[in-house]
Amino acid sequence: MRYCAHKHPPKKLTTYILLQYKRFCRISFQKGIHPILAASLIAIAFLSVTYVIFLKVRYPAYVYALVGIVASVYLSNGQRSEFLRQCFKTKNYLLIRLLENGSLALPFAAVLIFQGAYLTATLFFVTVLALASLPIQTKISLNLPTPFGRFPFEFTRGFRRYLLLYLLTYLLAYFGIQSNNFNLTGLLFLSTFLISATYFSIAEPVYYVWIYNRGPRHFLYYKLRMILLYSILPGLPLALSLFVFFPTMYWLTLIALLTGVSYIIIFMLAKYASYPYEMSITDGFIVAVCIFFPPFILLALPYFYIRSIKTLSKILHD
Amino acid sequence: MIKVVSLNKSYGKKKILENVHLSFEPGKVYGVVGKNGAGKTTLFKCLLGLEHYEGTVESTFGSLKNTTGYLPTDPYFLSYLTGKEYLQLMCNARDIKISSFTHKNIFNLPLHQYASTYSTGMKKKLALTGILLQKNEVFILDEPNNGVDIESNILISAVIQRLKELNKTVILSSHIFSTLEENCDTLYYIKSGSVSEPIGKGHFSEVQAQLTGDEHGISLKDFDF
Repeated sequence: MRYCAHKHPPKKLTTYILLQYKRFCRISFQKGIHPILAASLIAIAFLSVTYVIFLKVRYPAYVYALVGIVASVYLSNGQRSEFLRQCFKTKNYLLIRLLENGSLALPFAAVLIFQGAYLTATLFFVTVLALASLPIQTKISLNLPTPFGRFPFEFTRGFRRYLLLYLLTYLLAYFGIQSNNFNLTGLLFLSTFLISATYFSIAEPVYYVWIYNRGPRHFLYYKLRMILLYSILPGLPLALSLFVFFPTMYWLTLIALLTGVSYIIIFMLAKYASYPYEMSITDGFIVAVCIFFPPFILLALPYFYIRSIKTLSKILHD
Repeated sequence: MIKVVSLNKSYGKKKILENVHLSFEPGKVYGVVGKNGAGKTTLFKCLLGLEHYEGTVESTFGSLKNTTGYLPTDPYFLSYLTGKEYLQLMCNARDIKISSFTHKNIFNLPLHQYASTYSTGMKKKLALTGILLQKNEVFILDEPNNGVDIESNILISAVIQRLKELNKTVILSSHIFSTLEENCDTLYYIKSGSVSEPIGKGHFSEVQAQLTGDEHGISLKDFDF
């Protein structure tokens, strides 16, 4: 049955928009924050990105427009578009997609106009509206071999998912080495661990924990062993480059390596501390403090570990 | 042997399972039947310790969680994970060492492809292969035949019979009575949160008659198509 009947399209569109609003509220409450606060945080993040781009980046208007287009591509992803197409008549589907992309493009276009980039703003707005009618395949289903097959699943999935990001890091590191910039190359090396850490922070379905015949402690040691075994591999080309091209800074490279591994461990423990729910805002804040002030990891580690044992024991029945 | 005594399960004020008493013996195949939403999956999840409940579930196999293979109705596969990697994960979880999955691929699945891209039937077959590799003592199969082609259904029936010969305990749910007739020794019928006494082979048709005879909540003539 079609979600949208045919007699009163505007009413049905309102229902769809109301549903999206309800979803936003539910997700916010699930994350432990009020929807008004969530909306404010999104607005602050948007203004911060805007501020940084127009202050720090060359050709800010183009970069800004590109960020807006990338964001609209997310709304046009194939599966989502397919679902909406099945639910609504073609006319209503297009209306919804135009409305969604238009709402997203509006603040970007407003900033571009405010900055005097009238032509870029017009081209950007037209492009985003045009994207509304196109279903875009955002997932690459290339079956890429990885060296992580013996111990699935975090590194195996993450490496495939973020391959482009890793490649971009390698490319930037190449420029870092070329310009003899240790700080940039070292930071990029550290960022490979942060990329790995992000896929350790996403909660897997309970079944994928329940299947283990280990108690919570052994389960965490198993995950820890996997991290120690695999975490260096995505950043290995950069680690080797750092040792070869900046041999006198080997100790800083080692510190970066240790910090990077600690990042992944703290992300993993923070995930299981709230498991099976997603990481809370408070825990996310603690993790953020760990990233910017790594010695704090020594305090956060036992805190998350104890909580992880508690939550996992409900599933692994120690 | 698994013994369930006075099992109760509620979601808030709504009682899903009430005072359930069951026993499952090794070398036997049990069928659990009931309408959609009757509580079959909830019962399975209670047995597996995936849901909190009141009452006791005792097992002579030690920890039931560590000796049971569970095939969910709709197995979920993580994205960017191949069939082979899924099987490796299932083996790692139970410390099972397997050097090659080629001879274990009884359903001829494309193990090099991402499991999330498999069809419904292929997903079911991959999940079943995973729990078979774990060498479990108990198998809980929630609608194992759903979405699976005829050829594979025949193979699944053969697998169930082989498990029975190996003295394993198999508990399955299905809406297809021919499957239940073919595979099960005993049936349990769940209705309104209560579970019937064990029903032996030869009396399955009575359960089928009860299930099909139950009144529908809404008459089709009242539905505005």
